[in-house]
Amino acid sequence: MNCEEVANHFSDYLDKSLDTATMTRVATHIIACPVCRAESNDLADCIEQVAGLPALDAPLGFAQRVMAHVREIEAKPTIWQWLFQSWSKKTPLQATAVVMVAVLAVFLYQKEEPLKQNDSMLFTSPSAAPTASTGKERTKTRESLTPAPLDSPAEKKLQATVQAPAEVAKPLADVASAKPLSSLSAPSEQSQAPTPLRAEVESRLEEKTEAPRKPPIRALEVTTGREASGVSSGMFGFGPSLPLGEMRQLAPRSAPMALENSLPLGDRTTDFEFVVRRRAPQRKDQAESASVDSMRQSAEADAAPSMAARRSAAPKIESFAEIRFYNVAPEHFEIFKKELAAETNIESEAKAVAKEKPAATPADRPLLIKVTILPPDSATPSR
Amino acid sequence: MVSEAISDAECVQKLQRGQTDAFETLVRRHEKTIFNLVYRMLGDYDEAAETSQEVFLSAYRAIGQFRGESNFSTWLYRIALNHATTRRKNLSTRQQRNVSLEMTEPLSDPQPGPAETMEKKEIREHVQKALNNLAPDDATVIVLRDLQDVPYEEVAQLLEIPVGTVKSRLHRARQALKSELASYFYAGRKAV
Repeated sequence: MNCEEVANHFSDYLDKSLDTATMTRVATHIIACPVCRAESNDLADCIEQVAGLPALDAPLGFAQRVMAHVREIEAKPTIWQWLFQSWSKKTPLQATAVVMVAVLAVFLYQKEEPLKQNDSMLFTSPSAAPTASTGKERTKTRESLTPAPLDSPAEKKLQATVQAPAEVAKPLADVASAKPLSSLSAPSEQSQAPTPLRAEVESRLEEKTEAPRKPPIRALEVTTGREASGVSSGMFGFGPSLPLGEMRQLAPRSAPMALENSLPLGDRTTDFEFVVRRRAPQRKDQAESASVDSMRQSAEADAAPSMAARRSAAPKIESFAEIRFYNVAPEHFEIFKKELAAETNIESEAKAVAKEKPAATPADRPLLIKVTILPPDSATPSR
Repeated sequence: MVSEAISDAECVQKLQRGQTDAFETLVRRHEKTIFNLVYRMLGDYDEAAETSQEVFLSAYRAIGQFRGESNFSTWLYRIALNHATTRRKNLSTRQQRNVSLEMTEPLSDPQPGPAETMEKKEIREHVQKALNNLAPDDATVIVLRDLQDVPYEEVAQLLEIPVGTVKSRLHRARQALKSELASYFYAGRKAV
């Protein structure tokens, strides 16, 4: 065994961890080699010095200080321990939290659902207004899109204007109840037309008892806020003048226009534009027959005072121009036009240039018709 | 307080059942060993006291994770070595440790005369300085094996290395320590 091999075993030799044979050989070499002996002695001195380092006592009160900290830890558990380690103790708290989360989720779900419905209906409707409307307006819009709700302002207005003889009131009632005109009953039955309030109540009852009915022609009226005053009494609400006789002449009409609630205006592309003028109020009186007058008087007697007040305010409002929008199915456009001509004087008609995609032809979707209603002109000759 | 006669394992079981007093028995039983281990690793009395306290508090917090697969002392040693190694790295300079060492080294053997006491104190300071200058792994294995007299197998278990690696690492650490102390011992021998 040479010096290098012996040097590799110095540590084990001093620890006496070598086997007997190796220990003997290393010991023999160390005795014979002064260099390795000196090296071995130096290493043994180092080990001795390290081993001779005194064992110090821990600081006084060390255990007490440690236990004081331990009791602090014990008294104040960590957040993790507080939340999870003693689950059984925290059950009421966590159960309360779960219940509160569930209640909150249900509340949010219920609150969110009408908004989603509104959004989907607005997206599907071509006359949908921009989403800048408030929640209240959205709700109103949703109501207006449902098929002919009874209590919509347009229908109330229509009911309020049924002050005519039975033969005139019946088509209007049909309009209100969205029934086809072909189902009109005989004149004998029409003579039993109810007063406006009765007609409204009966119509309301019919609406509630019967399933939701969609009118054959769906005309979605979109108008300004002024229209909500409900003063006008025509088919289109163009004024107090109701060309009742002319309405009767529209016999071929297959179905009345189901006026729906107003929608806020938005940026839309109209398919047709009409400029019409209201007829002068005095013209209505001339056109109406004596029976109409008597029926109206009786109706007014039954009507609420508010109706009279509205009628008194009518001329004032009629003096303004209005713009209204209607959604009309393409196949009913001609009927719409006839009814419009029956109630107003059409001054101009224009077909707008389509800006939409070629696929969105008028046959595919309802026509959006813009009607500009001018105030009655006294110079206009009456029909 | 729990009786001093019960074993570490029984104390641990009582502690895991919630008897906090059992931990005091363990602290008193191991405080000196842990403090000396940490002190020799750091070379600073105050640092060693603080670190030893953290070692026991860490052991208390983690007592639920102790499965009894090894001795409690081995488990506690491992915690102490981790804390001491981390603290040793955090100490900014070795000079700081050396200064504090000279100021805080206690006199454990007051019987010898003043000259002998001073010589012994000087030797200890140099040995401790040499330990401080060693690499952490080398210092650890020397403290465990030569100072604490921990068996090779337990050192291997603590450091999670094979016994053969412990031996080779100890041999290398002793050679490094001898190199650190060579000048002092050489001068001392010349003086003697």
